[in-house]
Amino acid sequence: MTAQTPNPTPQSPRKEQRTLTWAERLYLPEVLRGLRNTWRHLFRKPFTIDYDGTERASPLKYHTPRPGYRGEHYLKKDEDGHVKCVACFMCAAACPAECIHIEAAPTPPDWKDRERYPVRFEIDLLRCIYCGYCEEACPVDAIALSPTYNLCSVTREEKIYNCEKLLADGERYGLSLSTHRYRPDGVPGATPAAQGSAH
Amino acid sequence: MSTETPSAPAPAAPPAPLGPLPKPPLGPLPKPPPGLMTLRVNGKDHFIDPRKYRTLIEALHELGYPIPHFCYHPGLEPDGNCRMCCVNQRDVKTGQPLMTLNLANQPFTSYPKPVISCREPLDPRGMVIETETPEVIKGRQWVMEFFLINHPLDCPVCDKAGECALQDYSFLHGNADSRFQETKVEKAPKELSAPEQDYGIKLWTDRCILCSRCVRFLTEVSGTSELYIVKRGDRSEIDIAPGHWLNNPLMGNVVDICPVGALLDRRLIFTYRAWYFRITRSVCPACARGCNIIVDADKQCVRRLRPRENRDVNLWWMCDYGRHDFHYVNAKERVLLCRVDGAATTDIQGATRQVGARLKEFAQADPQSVAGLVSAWLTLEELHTFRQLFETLGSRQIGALAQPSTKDEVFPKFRIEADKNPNRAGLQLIFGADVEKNTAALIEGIQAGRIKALYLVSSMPHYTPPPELLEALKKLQYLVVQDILSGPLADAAHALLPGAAFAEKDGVFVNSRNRAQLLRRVIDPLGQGHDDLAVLQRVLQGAGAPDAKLLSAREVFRRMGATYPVLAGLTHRELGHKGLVLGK
Ligand code: SF4
Ligand code: SF4
Ligand code: SF4
Ligand code: FES
Repeated sequence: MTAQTPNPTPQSPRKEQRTLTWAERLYLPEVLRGLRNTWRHLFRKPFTIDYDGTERASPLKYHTPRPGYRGEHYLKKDEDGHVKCVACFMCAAACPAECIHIEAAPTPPDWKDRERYPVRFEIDLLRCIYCGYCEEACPVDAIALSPTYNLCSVTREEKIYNCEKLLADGERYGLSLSTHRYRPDGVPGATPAAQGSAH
Repeated sequence: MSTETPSAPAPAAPPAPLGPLPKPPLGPLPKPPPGLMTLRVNGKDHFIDPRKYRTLIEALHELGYPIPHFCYHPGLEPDGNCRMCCVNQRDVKTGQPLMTLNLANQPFTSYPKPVISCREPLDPRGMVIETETPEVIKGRQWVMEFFLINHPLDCPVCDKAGECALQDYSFLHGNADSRFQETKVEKAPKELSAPEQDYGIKLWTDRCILCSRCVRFLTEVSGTSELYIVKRGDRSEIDIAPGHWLNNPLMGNVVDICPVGALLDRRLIFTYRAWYFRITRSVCPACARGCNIIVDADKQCVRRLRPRENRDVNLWWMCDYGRHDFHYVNAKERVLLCRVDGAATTDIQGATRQVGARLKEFAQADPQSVAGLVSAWLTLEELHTFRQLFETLGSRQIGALAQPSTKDEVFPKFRIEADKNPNRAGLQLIFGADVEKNTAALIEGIQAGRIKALYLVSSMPHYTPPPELLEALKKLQYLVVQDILSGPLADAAHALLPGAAFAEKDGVFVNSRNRAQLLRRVIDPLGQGHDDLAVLQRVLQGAGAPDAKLLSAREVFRRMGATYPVLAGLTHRELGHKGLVLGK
């Protein structure tokens, strides 16, 4: 309304009271002035994006998080296609939200390289605070947080990820053997050469 | 280490010279009181009785000096093979460190001689010991470095992680990096017990540090000597004679005493992580000896039992029957709901009130038509409450059930009792010595129709009722059963109330040597949150006892002193973790 007078005394922050003129009390000019702004933006390029979170085709329609962004988890596979996790519970012990639930078991006899694996591995992503401690704690680099940005779901059950889902996610992101934390250019799984050197 | 690897000899850095040893700034040892000796540890003088301790380490531990050790175990003969427990000893007169023999006869090139504190007898003339000097610490670091040369370092998949001595001392005295460049000697895991047996011990050979505790246990305590060390040098390993298996009822103890994760219990492999356990000191309910145990629980599930030291009862050990006898606690067959009028209900207050009222009805018609059967698995407090109930009803018809006895099993340093009831002595304390003989008379009374209502509190997990009892129960007009597992007794009941297992209740058991010991609650009672004591107290209320209140076991026990002179003045707190012999 009125230009704010610079107020030197912080003790009286109230604005000066003034009666409105007749034109001002009609409100119409002000409303029209506001509508002018609306119409002007109607024909401009929008600031928002039509985000559906599935398409990578148009960079406009996908938000690529910065490197080191911590989104949904995934589990990695080893060279034999088995889950890399050895069910050591380090991630579950480190997790401040206590949202990782593991059940360990002896491996099937044809897994020659180790004796312990998770028969059940569940992360309750509704409780997860995406701190990344699980990734730090893992001694075999089996669990990691992906740069997945869209974390929404329609039901609660969907947000409890089991072992299969976590492994499939790893494959989907092309991350199953690599670690995105150390990627040099911010693109997950882009440089196989960098994979070995990280660990 | 590996002799056949001709690795290019890297110029080994000479060991860092140990600085000149400081002279202790101390005068002569003070004269001890008669019968004692002076032990000066890190400059502090202690007067101790040398006859009380076998070796130096025991005195140091008791005085509060945490000497790291692997092969020493208080329950086994000292062996002195790991050298982790070395401390410095100084000459009492000169204050100089004791020196190794200087064979080359060169002046002052010898190193101070560390003494193996787990083998060193106490010298009654006095001793000067240093436990934390740089040389001692350096010695421990070297020992650790040697242990870790061939150790697989597979803590993430090892069940001992979190309670492993090697891990702890590695944290204290280990190096982050290994200087060892050659390949490690690989040793495959092996089964020590017959594979077809459902319970057994498995050996992860490469994790073993050859402390020989397991070998000594099986020689000294169980006397079965199944295990021994074969091969030499870094290829040594624990083994069992071909065609023989580790199979004795004490073998579970080797899992506890193995300082690393080399020996593991096949039933428990991969089922737990030690850092999730809630630890409770309790008493094993599987026999009349009442071994002191620790109950490890994860959330509301009992996962493991292991022995706890009590030199008056079980030393450091327990038997495997007791060790594995906890699976019924979380079993599917548990009685969790009440059943009255043929319908299951969660309303335990209503059910107990009804049971109390019905029993009272029978008692008002004829007090001796109501009978009670208790078991030798109930705590003193529960038995006392049961007695109060029958005093209220006016009936003297009380009998008792008990697990049948087997045979004593005797080992050189352990004895498994034949009596498989934890509280038979307590039962006889409350109801007199003849209470079990009464049972036959009760059964007869039921058959003859003199007894019309029976309240049976069993809470015994493995009890098979004799056929004559089951036969008689059919004749009853009203049978109340309080039990933990469903079975023939629960099926026969007109009213069923949930019982509680040993892990769900507080209370006192009296063992075969009249020692009262504390049973502690580990998990919440599964039967509608009521343990046996609470159920009994509610029934007592329902039967119209004028001043019946819901009291904790602690309070009930405190008040029991007024009734039983032998318990006068005793409280749970006074029994403590190790219990007290009654009437002493
Ligand atoms: S990101 Fe943090 S909160 Fe989420 S599962 Fe991992 S450790 Fe737990
Ligand atoms: S820390 Fe890694 S290996 Fe251990 S349980 Fe978690 S994901 Fe599996
Ligand atoms: S198996 Fe365990 S107790 Fe036996 S020698 Fe090896 S480390 Fe010691
Ligand atoms: S504990 Fe003394 S040498 Fe092993």
